[in-house]
Amino acid sequence: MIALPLLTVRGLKVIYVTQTGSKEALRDVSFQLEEGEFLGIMGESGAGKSTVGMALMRLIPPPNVVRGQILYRNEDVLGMDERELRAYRWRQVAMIFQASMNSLDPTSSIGKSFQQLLLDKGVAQNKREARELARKLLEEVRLPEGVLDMYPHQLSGGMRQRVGIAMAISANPSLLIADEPTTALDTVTQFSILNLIIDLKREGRIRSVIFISHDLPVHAYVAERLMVMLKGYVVEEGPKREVFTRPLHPYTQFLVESSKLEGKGLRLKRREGGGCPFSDLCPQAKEVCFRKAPSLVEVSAHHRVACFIYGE
Amino acid sequence: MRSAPTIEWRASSTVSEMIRFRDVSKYYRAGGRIITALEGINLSIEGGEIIAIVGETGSGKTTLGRISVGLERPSKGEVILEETNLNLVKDRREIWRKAQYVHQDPYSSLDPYLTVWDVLERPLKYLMGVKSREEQKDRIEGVLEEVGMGEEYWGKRIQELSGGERQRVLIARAFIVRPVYVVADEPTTMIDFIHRNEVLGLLTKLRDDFGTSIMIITHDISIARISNHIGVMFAGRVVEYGESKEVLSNPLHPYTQLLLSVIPEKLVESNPVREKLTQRGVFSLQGKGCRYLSRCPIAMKGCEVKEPTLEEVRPKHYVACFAY
Repeated sequence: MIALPLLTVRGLKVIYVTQTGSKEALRDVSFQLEEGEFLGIMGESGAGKSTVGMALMRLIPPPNVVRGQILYRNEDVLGMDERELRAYRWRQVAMIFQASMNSLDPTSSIGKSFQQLLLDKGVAQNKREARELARKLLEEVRLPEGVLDMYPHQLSGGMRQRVGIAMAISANPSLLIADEPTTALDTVTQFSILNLIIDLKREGRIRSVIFISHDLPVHAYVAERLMVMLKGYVVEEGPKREVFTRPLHPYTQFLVESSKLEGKGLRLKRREGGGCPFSDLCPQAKEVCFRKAPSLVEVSAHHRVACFIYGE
Repeated sequence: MRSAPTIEWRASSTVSEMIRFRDVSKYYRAGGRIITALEGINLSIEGGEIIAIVGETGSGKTTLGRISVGLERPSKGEVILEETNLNLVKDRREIWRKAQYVHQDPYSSLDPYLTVWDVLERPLKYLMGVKSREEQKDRIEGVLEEVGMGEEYWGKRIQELSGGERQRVLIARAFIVRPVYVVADEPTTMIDFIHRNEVLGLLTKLRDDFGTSIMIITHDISIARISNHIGVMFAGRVVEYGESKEVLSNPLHPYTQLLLSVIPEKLVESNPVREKLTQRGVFSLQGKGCRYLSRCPIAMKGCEVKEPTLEEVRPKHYVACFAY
């Protein structure tokens, strides 16, 4: 039997509609996530990486437009009704944000916040059960029980993010989407949070992870597979080590080169672009690159790139 | 009379030492407690050099930068810019004619409704007293050319500019007064990867063209590759200082080693840092012992008793660590 992918995304397109106009945030995004995988989504601001996370969570309301297909274990996520969404969000797929450490109610103790969440969602039946479960969850994210009686302002940024992770995994979701969860933290705290996520995955506490970040070191540390996005397109995708050591797309090559200590400090000249999302800066752009966007092609096993250098 | 073309201006390169911090400390009072932002900083910046001050949030690097241009006064110690003791300057505009500060966030530190011209005209008028329209035009044109922005930008409003363009306007605003010393606070943090090297290249070029001393404040040690010297800060102190090449190839302090181990090329290969990254507690800002102790993987007996001072352990390479 062929294992069913956990997640299949096909031709995902998102257009944000505002009063002053509309903006295409995702143009054409397709990927699969296997059960148990750790996928990193890399991209700079405006690449659409957060939009992918929001679309997977069905958090983009009309009048914005979401087109394409998202299959979660063969269930059509974009077609789910309210009842199905309640069973899907947080219970199947949970998300943490950079700001999730600031989204705790400042007037409630951590214990109280847990209680509210667990009772509301029916994960715990009564207060005693909720407190017991909260204590266990805190232990899983390596926080002492005493935190239950503390208020958000008494916790450090790293501790608040740990609480956020504990809340996200309290219903045992199959997939955790983490959107820049460590961006606001200093280096040591950042890596201790990454270690926690790695450990939770090794222990089987989280099964699959989609990790969204603009930060190359973070992906180099945590991801197993890496997907590079630019202006709403996926430009490269493959095993992390391959993408970092043998980047195929000129954009990825630029990113990797710039991150090196002995790097050449490449500078790119901007020109009129079109077609390929990197055509305005690409040092290797050909005539065809300005006419149309290349689609992803498999160059070696599991390593895909969208670039005309590798064939049309 | 027309002013000399911008390109002929050079910072007084005869001064070998541009700025000196003498035992500078800064304390803040917060809710009855005293927070130490800087403690006993001794540092000098040479004429025409780029120094990178590397450290994380709370290390005191921004406070150091702000004190060095008179935006704040030290609680203890003094800063000497060329021959002037900044503590003794009454009108801070005197300092700002020589020393400028490029703020971190190009989005919040420029008024979106002003035009590029307005932004650059103000320091000329109010700081430098340049009233002649002719000279204003020359200087604005000159500095914009330096940062690679042509005539088409003069009338553009800030809100029409991208992050990278705003960053260039910020840099132009600092350089239009022809300073001898400029602090650039996290100049690449708020802009896209694509434009980071551009901004770093621009700062290097301005240093080369004008001989200005530049302090780059950053949490990203890979940026330090363009600097002449590196000062690594932790919890209000300089824990390592030396020539950039030397520090990057022979990092001595465990904190510098940590910062250099979390760059992609090292992380992809193996995970040598995992054990270094365990946080053992909260570091102490006051009291005894080394402030890196709670995180240090090589802590020895004695580290909890006394705080190490900055010592020269290799030629012109200083570190504050008992391991040496």
